[in-house]
Amino acid sequence: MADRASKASGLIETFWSLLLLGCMGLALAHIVSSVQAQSGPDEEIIERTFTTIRAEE
Amino acid sequence: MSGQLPILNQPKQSKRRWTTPEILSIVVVIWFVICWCVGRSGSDENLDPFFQRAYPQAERLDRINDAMFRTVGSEDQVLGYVATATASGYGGPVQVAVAVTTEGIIESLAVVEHRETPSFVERVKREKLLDQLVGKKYSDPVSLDADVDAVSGATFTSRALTRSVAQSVRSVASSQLSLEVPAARKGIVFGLPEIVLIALFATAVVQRRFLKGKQRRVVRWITMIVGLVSLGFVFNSPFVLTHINMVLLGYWPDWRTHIYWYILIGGLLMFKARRDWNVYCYDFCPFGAAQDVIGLIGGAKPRRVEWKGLLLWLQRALVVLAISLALIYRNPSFTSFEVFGTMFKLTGSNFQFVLLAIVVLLSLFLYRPWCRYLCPLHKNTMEGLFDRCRKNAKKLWLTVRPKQAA
Repeated sequence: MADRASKASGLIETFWSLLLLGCMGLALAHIVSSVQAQSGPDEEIIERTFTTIRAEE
Repeated sequence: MSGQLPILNQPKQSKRRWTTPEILSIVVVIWFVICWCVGRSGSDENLDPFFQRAYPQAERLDRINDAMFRTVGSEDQVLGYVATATASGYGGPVQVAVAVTTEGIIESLAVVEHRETPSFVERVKREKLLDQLVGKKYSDPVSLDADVDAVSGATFTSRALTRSVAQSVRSVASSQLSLEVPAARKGIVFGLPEIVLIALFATAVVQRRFLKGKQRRVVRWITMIVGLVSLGFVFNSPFVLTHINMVLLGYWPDWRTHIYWYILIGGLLMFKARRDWNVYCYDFCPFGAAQDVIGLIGGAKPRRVEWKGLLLWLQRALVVLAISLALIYRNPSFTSFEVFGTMFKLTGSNFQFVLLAIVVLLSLFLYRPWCRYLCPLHKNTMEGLFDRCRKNAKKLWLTVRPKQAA
């Protein structure tokens, strides 16, 4: 009985740890995607504003 | 008696050898310095191609100075000017380029570069703040308090953009068009967020110094709930890794518009350095309070987890990576993986939304899982590094100058 309880508690501890590792993986994925999205001057905004204004003229 | 104890211990301490955590903390600091230097060396952007887009009919672009260009058409006719200016947003500086006519009117403008929290810039783009500024004249107030509507939830970014644009058009008007420019509005921004923050600091200090037992617990819960509602949901201005990166990168915002920033950073550093009190995390951190409240529902408590050492070192590695990239790219906010904005303003990447969902689930059963295993500002990470650096500095001082220290 005690053995089964200890096994269950061990499993739960592993479950928490796996979830926490998953969280760290997500945090890392967020950092990597941010670095990939980082590309110096914001060309998209520049294109949108300057061209929009020119079209209105 | 208690005052004599450190003096008796000091000669002993100075002879102690350096431990592995102490050496590692020095290595991390040196690594951050290297990243800072790498970022600094590669930070010069050539913006000329972007300026040319403002006046495609221009024959040439004459550089007046580093922040201003004259666009010249056929027969040497001046078509207009393009000027750049920078102001600090919530997470870092925002640089704009403004095309100004020879009458001192804003013809077009663009954000050419920013180190601001990406979700705030997205919000400003969506709400078309830039469009409000086109057509304004050098003599207009061009201010959030007068003729420009701030984008809700991105007030600091709106203010930074508006200030940069006003600065650009006025600098062209005064220096190139010899027009009389109205004095720039330099009002001090001091309102409810600053008052609440000061009150929270004061209450936390009173609670720690003068209260005990149940009274202390009650007051702590009050400050936590006030922090959750005000700093979290209402003002959305918690302490984040971005603030530390801003300090490391030397991005000191204008004190008149960022008093909140200075109270937060100054208060934290002052109490930490003078009293070794972390009054923020344990007394009014909004995300800490959110976890506490969720924990009440599920009966959360500190529980054992497997691979504790691995989780600790992964947490540290993640923080070192986030700060290193921020220093290399000279962008304080873009690698910040915290989920505070995701929770309080529903902004962030898909990864952050999933991360938040798991943290909320864990908070039901574990005591403050974010703080203990993920937070970049916790004692395991940046607060710990700060403590270690402080101790190292003291130790170094005792080693170099044992007599004076005694």
